[in-house]
Amino acid sequence: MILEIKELSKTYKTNRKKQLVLDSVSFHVDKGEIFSILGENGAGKTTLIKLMVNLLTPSKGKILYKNMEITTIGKDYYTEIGVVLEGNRNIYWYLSAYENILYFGRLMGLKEKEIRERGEELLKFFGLYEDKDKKVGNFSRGMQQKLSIIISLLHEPKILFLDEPTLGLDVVSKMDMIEKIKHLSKEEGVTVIITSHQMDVVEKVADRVMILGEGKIQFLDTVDKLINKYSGNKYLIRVERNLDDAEIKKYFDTVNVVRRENDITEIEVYIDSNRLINSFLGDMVKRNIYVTHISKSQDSLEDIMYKFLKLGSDSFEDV
Amino acid sequence: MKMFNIIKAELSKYMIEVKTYYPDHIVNMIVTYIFFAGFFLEFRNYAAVKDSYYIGFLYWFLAANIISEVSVSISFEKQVGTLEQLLLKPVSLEVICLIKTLTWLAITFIKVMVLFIVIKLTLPINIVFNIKIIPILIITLIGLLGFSLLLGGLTLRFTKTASFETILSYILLFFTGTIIDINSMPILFQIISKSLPLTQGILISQSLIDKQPVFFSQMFLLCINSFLYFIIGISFFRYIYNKSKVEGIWNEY
Ligand SMILES: Nc1ncnc2c1ncn2[C@@H]1O[C@H](COP(=O)(O)OP(=O)(O)OP(=O)(O)O)[C@@H](O)[C@H]1O
Ligand SMILES: [Mg+2]
Repeated sequence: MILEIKELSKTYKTNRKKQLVLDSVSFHVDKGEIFSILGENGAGKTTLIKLMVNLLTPSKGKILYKNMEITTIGKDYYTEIGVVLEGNRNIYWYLSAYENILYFGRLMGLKEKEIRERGEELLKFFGLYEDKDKKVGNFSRGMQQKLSIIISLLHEPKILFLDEPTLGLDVVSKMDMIEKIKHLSKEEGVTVIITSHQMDVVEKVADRVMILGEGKIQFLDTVDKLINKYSGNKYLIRVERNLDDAEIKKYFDTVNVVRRENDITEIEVYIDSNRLINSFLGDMVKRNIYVTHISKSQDSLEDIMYKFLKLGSDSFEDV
Repeated sequence: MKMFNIIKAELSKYMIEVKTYYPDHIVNMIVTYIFFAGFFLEFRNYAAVKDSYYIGFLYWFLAANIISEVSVSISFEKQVGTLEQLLLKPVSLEVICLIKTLTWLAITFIKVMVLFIVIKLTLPINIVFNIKIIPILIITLIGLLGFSLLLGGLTLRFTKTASFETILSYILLFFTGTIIDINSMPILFQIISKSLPLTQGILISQSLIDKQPVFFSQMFLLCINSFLYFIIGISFFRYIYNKSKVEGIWNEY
């Protein structure tokens, strides 16, 4: 456990209006994991990140880094973490990539030699070495994003905070970014805390996901658990016999007959328990009915998030 | 060691800025030259003017250049969106801002020196200088840095404070004895004037150049004044900083 959040609340006050964005959330982040924070626009993801990096003061609650409150660690906390905030304005556009690296590296208190060596290593790793003397204003969005991450990694932080790092990237840059983030976590042991609206990214990188909604944690577990729990497993079955509805209903509640012709029945069923499938298949075998096709398909994480956000987690209980 | 790193960071970044926007700097130098030349030529015609006439103006010029530096930097960082990255570094924002200001000051100072030499070479005027002014200038600058942080705090909160700073620089021009003699002002203005960060420094420096005695009480007042401005500036800046951390307003366009 590298980071522990205890009963954290944040209320914004604007023009005498109060808005409770985070309502007593508690969780922890393990060392070396990729922890993803999800939730719709305005759910409080950025607010939570800013609280965790001590740019915002909590209304209530505590944040502990290695069992120490981050407010007591003070400015030294920033030698332990790297942060890339939302948007592409984390770097100076009128400076070149390398000039940015030098400037921020010096502010970090690193030695010239360290900055040069680490900077070049990271530039090569992210494939920006050739462009290091170009002005950042001329960089593509993906290149700017990579440079921001390079700069946040100069001092070899233990935790890397990334707020929407893949926003606006094309497919190739996105895949590349995913790979780099995974490498950092799995090969170099960096803990990564990431927010994203892109479910394909989350599905590929995240070890655990946390869904924020209405100021509370709506879900917190692995991606697999999220998918298994909420996807409502869907099977497509084809048998060489004309089965009528009553016969099918003996086995499954939620059925969707796709096709029924020439002694072939194709059905789509939603089930949570494999037992039902087995008893169905068992009976087919006994009755000497050929099962020519059986396949399982899952909802994508994107579908799940859509349902989750649109309908709320309660609606899943019925599935 | 860390300080040295930050100075190096700011200085080399500043040099790149100069290189990138060099036409601006050339124009700025020419404007300043005209400004100074006009001032000197104007006053040269009055026989009654003392040798020290120019020093208030020099103080004011340096002050006008540095009091807004913290605000200008913060306003710029806020607009390009890098302010939060500066907050995420192991040095505090006020230290970064002070170093930015000192870097800027050093460069302005060099510019002024060059200009003075050019003015001396190109114009028929006489500039009297006394080396003892240097420590007085430094003490005065400490107060001005405090003042600069105070304005920086306001910018942290309100972003657009440039017009306010222009007004302030005129107040400094008129109420610190730069061009109007303080002792001929109404008593209320005299009190306000003497508590501004520049006035004491100018008065002492004028006495030094005119070879008049400087009293201990004057020195004491200067030190107290500068010290208070510095403390007030830092405290105010801290106060606004902590308030902003609660409200979460770092980047605004
Ligand atoms: N400085 C602030 N002052 C007042 N309200 C704020 C401030 N910052 C954010 N909010 C409000 O708090 C809520 C959460 O904002 P936040 O930026 O944390 O959401 P988010 O999950 O990051 O959204 P997005 O997906 O759009 O990035 C929003 O309703 C927002 O309007
Ligand atoms: Mg956000």
